Amino acid sequence: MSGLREILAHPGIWQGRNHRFHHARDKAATGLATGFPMLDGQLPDGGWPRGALTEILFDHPGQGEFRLLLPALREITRQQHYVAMIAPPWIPYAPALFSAGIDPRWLFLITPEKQDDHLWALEQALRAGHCRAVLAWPTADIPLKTLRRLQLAAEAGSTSGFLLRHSNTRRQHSPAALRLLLTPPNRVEIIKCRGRNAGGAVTLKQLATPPH
Amino acid sequence: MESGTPSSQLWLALYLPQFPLQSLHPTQPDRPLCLYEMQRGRQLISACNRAARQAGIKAGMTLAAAQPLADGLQALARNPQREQAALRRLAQWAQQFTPVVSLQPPSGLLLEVRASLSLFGGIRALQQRIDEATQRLGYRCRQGIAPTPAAAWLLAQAGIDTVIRKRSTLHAQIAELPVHLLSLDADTRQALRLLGIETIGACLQVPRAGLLRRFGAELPLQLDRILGHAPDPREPYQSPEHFHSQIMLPDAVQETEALLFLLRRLLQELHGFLLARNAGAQELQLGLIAPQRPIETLCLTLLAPTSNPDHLLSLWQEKLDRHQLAAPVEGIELRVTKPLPLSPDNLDLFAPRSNEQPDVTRFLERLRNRLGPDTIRQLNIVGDHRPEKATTTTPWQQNQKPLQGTGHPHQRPP
Repeated sequence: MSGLREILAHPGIWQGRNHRFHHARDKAATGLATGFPMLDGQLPDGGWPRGALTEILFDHPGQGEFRLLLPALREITRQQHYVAMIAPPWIPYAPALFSAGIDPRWLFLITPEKQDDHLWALEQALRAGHCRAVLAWPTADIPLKTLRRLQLAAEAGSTSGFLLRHSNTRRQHSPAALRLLLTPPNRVEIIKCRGRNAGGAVTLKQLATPPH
Repeated sequence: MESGTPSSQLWLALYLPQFPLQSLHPTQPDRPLCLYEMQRGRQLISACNRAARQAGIKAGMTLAAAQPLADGLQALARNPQREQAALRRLAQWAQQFTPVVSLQPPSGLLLEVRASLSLFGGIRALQQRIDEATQRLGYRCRQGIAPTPAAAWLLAQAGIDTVIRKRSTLHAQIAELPVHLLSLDADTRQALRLLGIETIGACLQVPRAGLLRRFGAELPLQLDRILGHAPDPREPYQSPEHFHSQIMLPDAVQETEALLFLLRRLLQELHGFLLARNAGAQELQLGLIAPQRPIETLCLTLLAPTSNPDHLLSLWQEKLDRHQLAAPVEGIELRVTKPLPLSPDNLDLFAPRSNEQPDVTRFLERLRNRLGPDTIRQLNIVGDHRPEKATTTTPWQQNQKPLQGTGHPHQRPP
């Protein structure tokens, strides 16, 4: 029996639903609470996966993809850990972040000029493990090989990597541990989830744009 | 007996037998290489590397006789100025172990280490540390330890590993050493040999008056200095405020890999220089020297001063990998004009932040080094009612304090 346990402890063996079992040794086993109990209930780690990539797919920017991350970011900065944002398409509005409880001092914006450097910086940030969460807005055409590299970097650094991508990439294959599709106004569909069947969906009313 | 220099001194002599050759930092160890000097109109070989020795080349040969023995033998004239400069750099580096370092030209240093013993955990620990650090610089060394500088130097040259702490035991230890280790002119050596005096012990038994009459004051003075009977003041080396070190290569290189090899040594020198001052470098300049071209200078600016050679090397590596060498490089120089004191925060044991801060700084430096100085930015809230003006981004600064923090770690509670 102990022999079997040893074999199963090999990190190369993936154990489906029991995914937590072989991750039991590292602290990545428990997720980062999303701040949405309904969503947490749908996720095998009870939150955003740590040491892995998460993809959030949406049709148009501003559909709530950032708001989905806000509670987790608030928790990270409250614990005085860093969050890196690689080449955000817009400058985050600091007063809003502050009023959402996020201390902007724990945020880095990394804005490389060249496209190649975006991915390099992303990989470095994931691998270094100094930032709890790394957010990036990669273009649609990242090769699968690169994504896999990023996933490995996130594992190496025990970092949660969030890729915010356009929904036209949903048919592409991806090594990310979790892929979510946002549908307006406030539906979150799990299209891939390591360790659990995909297909779950939740409606989060907090995601809807507040009335002006 | 116990007169002259105070007996509390303990000298560590660092003898680098291969110094003239190793200070060239040859990048191709398999290529036969020798150094020659002019003596009475002949080019005599004074040092050669292992590849040359295997080909049958020995010190003392004429260059003309050596040349046919090894294919592609690289022969360089000895350059005393270059060796002097290398020795001064070594002294600068050695000040990390003790502030009292004096030069022993052409190929050694004398370190007064009594006061350093408790810091480094005893003489053996210190010796081992020096040995390892010297190897990282690319030198092989021998050490001798004695209460007088001259005796320490003698032991280092003879390769005697015994630590002599007291002057009273000095006599017995050095009596067996051959007399040719003393620095004597050729006539004196010859005369001693004719008299049958081969060891220092034998030399000490000869009546002093006779020694004085035969050989003049020099030989008895040397013996007195070894035993501590005559004062032997050594001038401590004063290193400059700025770090500037240059290595010229025996032959020009085109690959950055060879440059990194040299740079690693320069960074080790810098490390010693900075350690001696408890300082860090924040702005570094690397000059690439190519024949008949102006020196090409690369700059590296860090977020926080550091003295860590590995971190600096990885940053330079990143930079050099992306740098196109315009021409073969025959030398590199490293310059640090403003060594900055290392902030005590880095060493604070109890503040949890200070453990993490240097690491995150290093990570950001790696990014910044490749992406450009202004690419790591932070968000600031500006008290402005216009939303588009309420946020600014500025280059990230290391010394910002977290909002929840109490400010300076040494601050007392009210």
